[in-house]
Amino acid sequence: MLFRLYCALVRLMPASFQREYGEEMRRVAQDQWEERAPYEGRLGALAFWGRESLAILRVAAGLHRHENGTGGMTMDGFRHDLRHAVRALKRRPGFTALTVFTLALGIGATTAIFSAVHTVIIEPLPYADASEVAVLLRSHALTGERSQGVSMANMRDMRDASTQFEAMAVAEPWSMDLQVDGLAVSLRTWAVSRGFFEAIGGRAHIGRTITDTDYDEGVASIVVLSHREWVNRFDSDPGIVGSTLTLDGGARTVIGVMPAEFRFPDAAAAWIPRAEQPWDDNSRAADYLTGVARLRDGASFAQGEAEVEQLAASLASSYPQVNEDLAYEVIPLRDYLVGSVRTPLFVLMAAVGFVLLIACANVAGLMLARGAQRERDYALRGALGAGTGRLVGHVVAESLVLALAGCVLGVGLTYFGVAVIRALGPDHLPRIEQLSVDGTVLLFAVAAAATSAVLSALAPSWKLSRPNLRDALGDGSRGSGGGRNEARARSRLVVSQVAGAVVLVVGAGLLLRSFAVLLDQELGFAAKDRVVLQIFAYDYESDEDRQAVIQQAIDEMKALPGVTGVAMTSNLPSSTDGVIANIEITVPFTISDRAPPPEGQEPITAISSVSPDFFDVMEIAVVDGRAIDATDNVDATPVIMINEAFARRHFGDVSPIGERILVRYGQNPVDREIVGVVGDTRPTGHASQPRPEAYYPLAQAGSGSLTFVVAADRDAESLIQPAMEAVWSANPAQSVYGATTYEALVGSWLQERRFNLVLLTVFSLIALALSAIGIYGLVSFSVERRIGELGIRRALGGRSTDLVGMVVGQGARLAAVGLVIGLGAAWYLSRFIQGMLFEVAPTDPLTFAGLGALVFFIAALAATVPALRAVRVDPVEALRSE
Amino acid sequence: MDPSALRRAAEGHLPLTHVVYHVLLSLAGRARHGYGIIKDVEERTDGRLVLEAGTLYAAIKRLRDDGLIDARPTPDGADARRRYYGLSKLGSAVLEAESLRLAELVEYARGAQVLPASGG
Repeated sequence: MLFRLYCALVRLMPASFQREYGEEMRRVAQDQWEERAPYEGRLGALAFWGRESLAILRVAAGLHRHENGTGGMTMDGFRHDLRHAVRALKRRPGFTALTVFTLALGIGATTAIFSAVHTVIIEPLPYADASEVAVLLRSHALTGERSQGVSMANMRDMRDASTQFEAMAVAEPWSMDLQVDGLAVSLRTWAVSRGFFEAIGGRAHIGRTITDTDYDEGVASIVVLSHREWVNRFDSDPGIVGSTLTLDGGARTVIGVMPAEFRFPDAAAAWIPRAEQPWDDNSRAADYLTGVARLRDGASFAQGEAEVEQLAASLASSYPQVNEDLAYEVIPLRDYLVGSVRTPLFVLMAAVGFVLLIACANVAGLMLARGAQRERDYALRGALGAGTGRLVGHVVAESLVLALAGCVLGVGLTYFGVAVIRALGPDHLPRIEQLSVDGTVLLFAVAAAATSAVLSALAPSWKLSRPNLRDALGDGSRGSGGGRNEARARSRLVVSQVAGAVVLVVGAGLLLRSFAVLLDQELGFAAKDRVVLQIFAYDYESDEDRQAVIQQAIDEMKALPGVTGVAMTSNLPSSTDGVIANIEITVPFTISDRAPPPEGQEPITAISSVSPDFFDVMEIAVVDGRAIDATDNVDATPVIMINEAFARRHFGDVSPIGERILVRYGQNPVDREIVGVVGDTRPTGHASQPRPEAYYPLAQAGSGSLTFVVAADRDAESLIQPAMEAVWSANPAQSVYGATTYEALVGSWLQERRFNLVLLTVFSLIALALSAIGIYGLVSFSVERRIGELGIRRALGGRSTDLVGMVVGQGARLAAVGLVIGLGAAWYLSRFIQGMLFEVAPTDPLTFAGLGALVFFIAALAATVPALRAVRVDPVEALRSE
Repeated sequence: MDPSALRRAAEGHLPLTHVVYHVLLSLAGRARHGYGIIKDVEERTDGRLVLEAGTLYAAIKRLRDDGLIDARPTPDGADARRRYYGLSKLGSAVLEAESLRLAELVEYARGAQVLPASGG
């Protein structure tokens, strides 16, 4: 591709030079590249061919001049051209500003997205030999759904039997309370099993990581801190290593701090060694641990995959009850960390590439127009013995100056763009906080500018180095249309611009429609004006103690100004694992009056414990029976509520009220009577589907994992802090795990889509505007060239509407061709964003037709402005100008 | 051409540009093809000067037009599609004259104590 561009550029050389040296130059450049290629990446290729291409442009300009006897050799002449170009551009500030801004937009957008691609995807991961690290995922053989997680018992068996992995370990989410200034702060801790840091390949920033010896005599009371905690809570104090912290009431020695980039799993704040738990051996279904493994030296990833598949199969046959349908997969660490963002980022990269191309096409079109305006002049000079080499020199010099200015401004825009991406980017975009404009990114900007200089100079130089003398002079003498060659070249540019804009607009349109469909999905609960606040209340002597603290917190929250209700649940719908941890519990159940299904084949339901006013505060409708109320206490009949999805699936059209079910949850599960049915809620954001859910009265099935929902009659943002203080006022030692507005929490499910949508929409609007400018420029140009003809038509009584129609028709024809090509390309390309769409087909006819019409309309509008000018032509003036 | 006429003709080509001087230098004593020249210059300058193909052939064209270098038969066994170039008599004289001129300049610099005295 780059080589082909280079070959095209060689053809800009004077014909005699090409005959003599063209072939050799191509070979030498290729030889040179072949020798370097093994050591250079894609960027290196861009830099190499960019440098070679610029040299060609420079030399070509010099040689043309030399041939025409109008100047010295290469560099001096070129400097002269550059000076000339700067002067010429200064004389046309409007043209210059427009072009520079166009290029800057293209360069800035491309570079900003590149910086994200570079930081997130290309840069090596901060883990030793990261390519050998695999993350274990559980996949359900029936549904094919992947979920993170492995149980300790299964992991231990696999580790003992494995021959392809040198280390296999798990990390268990383990929130710990850190005592700071008399208050408890929740620290997102992971309890890691033996070999975790070896498996992941993490090295400490200061101090050390947890090693095998820390597990030898019981687990050591130690902790490793994340860089962020170290900076935020301990002022980056290097003396932290060796000091003692009070965590969950016990003393732990800090043994090390991890580097800033080390954030596995998720946003870990601290790591502690995981003690063997009594339930490890017989809880193979407890697969909520994150599994990580490192291939032994020389083992390939495929070997590792095959082994894990086989180990999972043997686990399934050894423990059929819990491991039936079990399959484990290993995926490379990089895929685990960036897998979901890779496609969107590459799509955005392609989109900005389009924008840059369209911008270049605009610049090329503008330069062609300028060249054509002067062509008669040059053709005349050519006829008088001077060559057209100068013209090529000017075009090249001007495009270089413009690209340079565009580059400078573009880099400025890049800083802005990077700030926007950081502010808008999804939280889970790995390393997004490290996004910055560094040397590589600047190099890319320069490469993008060089490419745009080359691209925007290519068409005009190509055209102008082969002027058709007779045409140019003949046109003038005929006093009609004229510049037909330029017009054709520009028409092609405009067609490709429109086509490019159509592709982007359709892409953005599909995302927009998906987003609209998503927002239309009823969540099933009210998130507006609500604060959600999660605590883990395990550290209490008795249930009564805990109840008293919670009741006091609720009372204090209810007393806050504007608060209309406070409810509690053990698991909040659409929590994220971010601010509010998702405490999802899914268990088997049986319906008491029916014949029980064979063991292991019971249906499952998600369960949570809720307070009596939960459905009120959440505005979840009770559609049948009654809601849990205060009478459903520990002494009353055990009751349960289910949602509509549950009722539909297991009871069909019959009312389930009064039916009894046995849910296998808790120490002594008992039959519970279904007293009510509530509406469905979406468990994980707008895109998720409701599933069977059951609700226990909190009073009958207490839980230490609790989330408060505080409803208010005003914006909830201001209530977050007071709500947290309510908890602390009830018990200063009770930490708050996370608190936010419910809207923000639900919105975070849309964050990534919103990010993609906003960027792609902005890019497509830029593309649309640039193509409109392109059409406008071309039609204006042709109106100018046909002023005489238009004048005559007017003089002969041509009607204004006919004239407008004629001129607009010209623009519309081009737009139509571009539209057809663009829709075809979009039809083909839209499959690449299929994964980013929601319930909208990538070839959604409505989007294609609607946005196609929009682009066509805007194109026609752009042609109308110069057309209206055409009818104002004064026939006498026009004829005089001949 | 007698030696003094050759020297006079050579001096007419001075001073040489950076690129041209290096190309001539790399052809001193042996013929090379284009890629060979680029490699030679790159090695001699420790990678500080890497000629682009375009720059090289613009220089080659000029040097051939001026009669400082000429095309040579491809040596036996070498890739026949590669054209070799070598110094003409005039080219050798120009290279020598330019080198002397540069050496002279260095002497001046030493005299003005811009550079340390020679011999060290």
